[in-house]
Amino acid sequence: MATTRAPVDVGVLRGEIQETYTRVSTDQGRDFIFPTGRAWAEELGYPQPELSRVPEACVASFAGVADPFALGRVEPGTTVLDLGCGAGTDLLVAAQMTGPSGRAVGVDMTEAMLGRAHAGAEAMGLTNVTVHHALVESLPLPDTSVDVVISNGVLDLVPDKGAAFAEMDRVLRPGGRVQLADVVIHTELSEDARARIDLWTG
Amino acid sequence: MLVELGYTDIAQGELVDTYARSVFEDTRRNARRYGAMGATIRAHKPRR
Repeated sequence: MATTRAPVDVGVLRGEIQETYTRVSTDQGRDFIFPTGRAWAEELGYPQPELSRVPEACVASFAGVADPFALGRVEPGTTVLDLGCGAGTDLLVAAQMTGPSGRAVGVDMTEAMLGRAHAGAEAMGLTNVTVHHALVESLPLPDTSVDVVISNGVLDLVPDKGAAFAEMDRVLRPGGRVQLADVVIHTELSEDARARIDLWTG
Repeated sequence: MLVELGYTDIAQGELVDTYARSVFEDTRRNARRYGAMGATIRAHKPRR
């Protein structure tokens, strides 16, 4: 798949995204332009009891846009990859679903978020969770090593969507599936709007 | 892009008015202007 070029400075965009999501991780009581926290995850209908077991330190930083598990649960024993796992709410829900015979792998570019995800897995006693500090356009995983790819509100933030989808396809095994939650828009964006960093991060 | 990759059994879930929950009026206004909604999609990679 061809790479796609974003009409913004990629370095500036990534910096803005990291700054915003570091604040989501470290300043959980603050109001953000998107809804956050456990009440929002519950309103979206996240699966129970899995959500209830995820530590508050993780769920308080939940900033998803929809529920990727609404289209099906993860089967026990599978390997799940969470693209842009953030503080780990989706990752830790998936880790419970796949169970000790499966694996849940999280990738994120914001270290403060990854720290919460890792600590959350430890607090829950989950031994099937690993997290990686990496870009979704360059995944540190072997080819065809994943059964299910999940993601929530991340691909819309990625400047090179072609590279992200190509990487997702590379690591997913034939017959595997993606379950993505993300932002869709119903209006064609002008070039001016595409170049506005605040619309990318908001 | 999933179609370009040959993915099949593509299903979309219900749309969610995510940004209507924003505490900021300008975010809600931008979301309405551009029709921004939360969405879910499931698709299978071909077995080849």
